[in-house]
Amino acid sequence: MTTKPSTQLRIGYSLFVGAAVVALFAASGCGYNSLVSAEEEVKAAWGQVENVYQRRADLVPNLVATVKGAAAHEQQTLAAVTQARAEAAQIRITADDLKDPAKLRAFEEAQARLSAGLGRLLAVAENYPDLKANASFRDLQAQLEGTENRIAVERRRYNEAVQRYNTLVRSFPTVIIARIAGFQTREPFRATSTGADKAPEVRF
Amino acid sequence: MSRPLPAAVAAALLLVVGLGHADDQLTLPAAPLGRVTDLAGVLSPGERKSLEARLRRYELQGRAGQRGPQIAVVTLPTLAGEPIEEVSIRLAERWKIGSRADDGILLVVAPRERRVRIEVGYGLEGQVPDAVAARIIREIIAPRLRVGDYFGGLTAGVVAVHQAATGQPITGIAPVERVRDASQPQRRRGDGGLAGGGLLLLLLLGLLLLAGSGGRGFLLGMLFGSLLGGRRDGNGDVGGGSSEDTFSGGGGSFGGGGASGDY
Repeated sequence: MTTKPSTQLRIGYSLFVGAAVVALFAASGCGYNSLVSAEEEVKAAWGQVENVYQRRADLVPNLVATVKGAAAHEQQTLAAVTQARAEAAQIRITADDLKDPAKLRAFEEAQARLSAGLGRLLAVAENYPDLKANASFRDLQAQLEGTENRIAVERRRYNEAVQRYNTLVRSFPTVIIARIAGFQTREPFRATSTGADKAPEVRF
Repeated sequence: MSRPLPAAVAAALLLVVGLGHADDQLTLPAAPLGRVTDLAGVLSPGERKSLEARLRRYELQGRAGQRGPQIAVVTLPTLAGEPIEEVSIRLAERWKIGSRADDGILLVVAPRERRVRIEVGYGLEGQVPDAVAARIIREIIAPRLRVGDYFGGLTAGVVAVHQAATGQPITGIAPVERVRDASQPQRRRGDGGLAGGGLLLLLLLGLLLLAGSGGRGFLLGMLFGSLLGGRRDGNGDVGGGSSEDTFSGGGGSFGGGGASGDY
């Protein structure tokens, strides 16, 4: 009869633990859903990032052809852009690859080389008045500027999506279900221009 | 009667606060003050009304009984040292110009920095490609702003943007072969829906709870809660909600399309 209280105690204890586990899961069950949708948002934002980079890559052959017509002896600059485009095109990242920061870095660096090449190409074009007055060159330039702007927008949105997701992965109580279900934090893009990470001076 | 007053007071306060700061800061109203938000004060009241009437006509009397594109104009006293693209996209995101068809266009002018931008909503990127927006700025808007003719520049710009957005030939720019823009990015609206795994887990948990405590109400609550949560996007605001004399953005999204220029 001496064991009875301890058995009761044990039953009470396991009931308590069971209830605690159930309560935890009930609380984090919703957390699981928000993790899933936050991760989906990251993937969707990545799709947009890829779209706009692809859009830029699509512009390059036209741009190179137009510049070549007016500035044929800029072979070196033109070849560099074409090569940078080819290299950037080789790095394709699926949504699942985003878990690997190294792949994101490689993608970013390849795209940055293409940005640098395009920058040099446009700087060179400044020396050719014929080219600057050429209507289709100006249209291409506008398209390129627009695309660079879209890239900036989609990178920012990607980083915002990553930030929302990472906050969920790191904070209580979602951190528990994130650990159990294997949600890992994602790497954001690094700021490209100096001061890009400072607080904006424009407020609402 | 009492409703518009607090809004007007709030807007006025915001303006005072916003312009009170020197050039290093810019506070923008959380919602547009109208189709024309002349924060820089470059238009006379009559000019502003005339431009607003034109924009209202464009939106409410589209082709074939449909609504036309929603175009809004904003002038800024300063860009606070930021690129006009940054300020413009933030305004567009915040104000949500355009209907759910993303047919909004924002024309932004910063007289201090002498910068102009046409921000084009996702839904109009095909009709108003970057190159066309750039031409409208370069050939129609900038020459007029350069000589201080803000009303003329904004009106002509709005006319041209509307022509482009509705597929008409644009008067005032050299007739060009229709500029073909690069591949249009397809905006994928994330549906934020429930993944199957999440639902399954919830069901399991619910059953556990039911078995454990007979808490039927809780189970139902959780299931319905999750379903409603998953559908959040479906019945969102139906946007573009301007009528004869009110104006509000409503649903337009933007992806940075358009063009900027100096004058």
